[in-house]
Amino acid sequence: MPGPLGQALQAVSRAISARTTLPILNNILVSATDQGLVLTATNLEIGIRKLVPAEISEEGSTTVPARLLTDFVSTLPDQELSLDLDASTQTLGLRCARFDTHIKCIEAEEFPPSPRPDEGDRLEVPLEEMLRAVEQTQMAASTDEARPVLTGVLFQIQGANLTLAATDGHRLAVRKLTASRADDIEASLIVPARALGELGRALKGEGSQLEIIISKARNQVFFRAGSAEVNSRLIDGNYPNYSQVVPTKSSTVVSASTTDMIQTVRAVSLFAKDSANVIRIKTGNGGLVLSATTNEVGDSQAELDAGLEGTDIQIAFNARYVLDALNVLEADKVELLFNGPLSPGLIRPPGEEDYVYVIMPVRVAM
Amino acid sequence: MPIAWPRAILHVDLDAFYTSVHQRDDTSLRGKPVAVAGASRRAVVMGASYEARAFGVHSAQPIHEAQQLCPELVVVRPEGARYREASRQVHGVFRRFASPEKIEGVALDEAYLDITARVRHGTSTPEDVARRIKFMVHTEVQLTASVGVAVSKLVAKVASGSRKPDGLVVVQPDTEADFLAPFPIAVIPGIGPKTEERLRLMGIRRVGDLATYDTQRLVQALGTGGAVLQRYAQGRDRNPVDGSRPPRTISAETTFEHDVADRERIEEAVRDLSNRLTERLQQAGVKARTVYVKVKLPDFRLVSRQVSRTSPTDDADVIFRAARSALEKSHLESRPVRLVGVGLSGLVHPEPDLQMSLFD
Repeated sequence: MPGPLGQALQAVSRAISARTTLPILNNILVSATDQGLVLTATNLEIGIRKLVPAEISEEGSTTVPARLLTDFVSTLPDQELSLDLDASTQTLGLRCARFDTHIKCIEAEEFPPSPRPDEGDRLEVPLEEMLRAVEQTQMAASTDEARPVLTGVLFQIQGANLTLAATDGHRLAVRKLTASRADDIEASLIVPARALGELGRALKGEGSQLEIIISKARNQVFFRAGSAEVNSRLIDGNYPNYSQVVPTKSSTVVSASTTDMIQTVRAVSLFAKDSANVIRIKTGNGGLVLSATTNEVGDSQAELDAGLEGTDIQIAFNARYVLDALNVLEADKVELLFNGPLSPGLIRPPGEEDYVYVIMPVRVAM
Repeated sequence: MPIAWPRAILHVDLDAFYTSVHQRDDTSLRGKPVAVAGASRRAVVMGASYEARAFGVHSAQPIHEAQQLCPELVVVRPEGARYREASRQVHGVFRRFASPEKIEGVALDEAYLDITARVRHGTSTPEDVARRIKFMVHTEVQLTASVGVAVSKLVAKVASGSRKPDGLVVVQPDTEADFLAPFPIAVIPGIGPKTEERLRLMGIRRVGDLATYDTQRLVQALGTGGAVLQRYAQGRDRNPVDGSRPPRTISAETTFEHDVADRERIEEAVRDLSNRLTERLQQAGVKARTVYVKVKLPDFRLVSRQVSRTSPTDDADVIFRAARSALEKSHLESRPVRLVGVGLSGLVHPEPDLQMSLFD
């Protein structure tokens, strides 16, 4: 038993802030319902709910210190675990194998109620595809909380067309996908990247479809798969018009093996230690030359086989931005499109329209 | 073909710094023997002008002794603020030639600069840079400096001290040992009176004697440290210029006379604190990556929240907005507050921002 319970506890605990001003938010709401054991945690911005199958002899709920419960359950042997609550003392008894344990709890009434999906708009997307789309965009979001809008991922919904976009002002990732079922919705939501980062852990393996529900007030979003749910407040504000920075023309097109390029960028960028983490890319001799140098460290240069079309170019990027894109491309080949050393570069799987990644170069003396 | 400088290090030493500042600001003191000393009868000389030094007046000398040597000696009281201001101006000149990490202030009147990056491309030589620094310090701060130029701190320091005042001594690479050889061994750091005496008994008086002495015998006499001293004597010193690291954090706080629950008043206080911090940031020439807010509740509980930026900032408005969003994150709602503080951490010396932006 502790296996699935332990995993569920770990998944919901991710919603708990390391430091919170409300002590009750350090607890997980544990409810025995006719469906099974429902676990809920929140930091008032993000909430995560998981259902763990269980045999229920009496319904009831309480809140249990998250860290203690999670740590304790994770140490238990994989055997049957029984939970019973002494409501008068709010003490949760746990019996498993040789262990007889009692944890002091806080009444369930103290736990702030989480928002419930109302009659808001809904759409459904294949779960795995959504998780991949999130992975391909979320890393481009900003961590600069002084510009809250950019710490989110933009969800643009037009009927069955869903576009995810994220940018930190230096690079931009855009992924399109198609809903399997959708209301006739037109909406733009900014979902905190941090909430999306929890989708994988909380929803993985929960069926094949993901339901996205937008609250009527358009201030909350719910992601539901199987019996699990992640909800998040939405970020208020105007998202920059990203489509205007996606380059529409290019003077140089390069195509290379994705794994070779990842390996090369990783190695060479160990020598890109200055603040902008600069790696230089040069075309010529039927391939690319990648190089990086840091005065006190040394330098490295590597050739990379590549197909070339158009004019030769020398351009420099933050190596991390390049790697971030290559790592989530999920294609054997990568296509890089340039339009001069000071214009944004574009990375995409060849011939693919559903994913583009745009990076602004670094200005350097070549 | 210009000479290759593996490292180019300057030691800049302001001449008779304390008294020069007084003589600069008070024309009646110029050309006179001047000493800076405290008011007490037991005070010692902090600094003496060259005119006073001619009478044998020197630093750390009891003032009554100095006055006996030089009856016309003009004694002035120390003025820390003026010295610090002059030093700050001089460091302003240094920063045009090296980043703060490459400027190591040893005292108000003495600093090492690593200008290797500056001279790497061969467009100017270390000597050019040294001349320009001397010129700027003279014209902008009205003080003279003696500068030593070498591939190491040790040799640069000996060089700057070898032709004072207003000197400029360049020790070309690979000539360090010859340059140092005639100096008394006391110029080598780590040689105090005791070691000096021991070396003297071994027949070592000049740096050159130490540089060429049998290493093993030196190690037998002084331990491994003896070999280190010998390397210094040969001009082999790889110590880096240990420039200023920015402070770890700077912060300011306000305690309210009465607990305040009004959000607007708290924000006002945060704005005020942000402005004050920004001023200090700009003075220190650093930028901050992280802004945090701390709040003390009436039960003395401390709540602290932080907001990180990807790029460092020293903009008052950006810092205020970050502080405000940190304040929101502490979920104060309308709880009253005793104290509110704003702090900045992740402080860095700014580097030129070469990463271009998608949206400008």
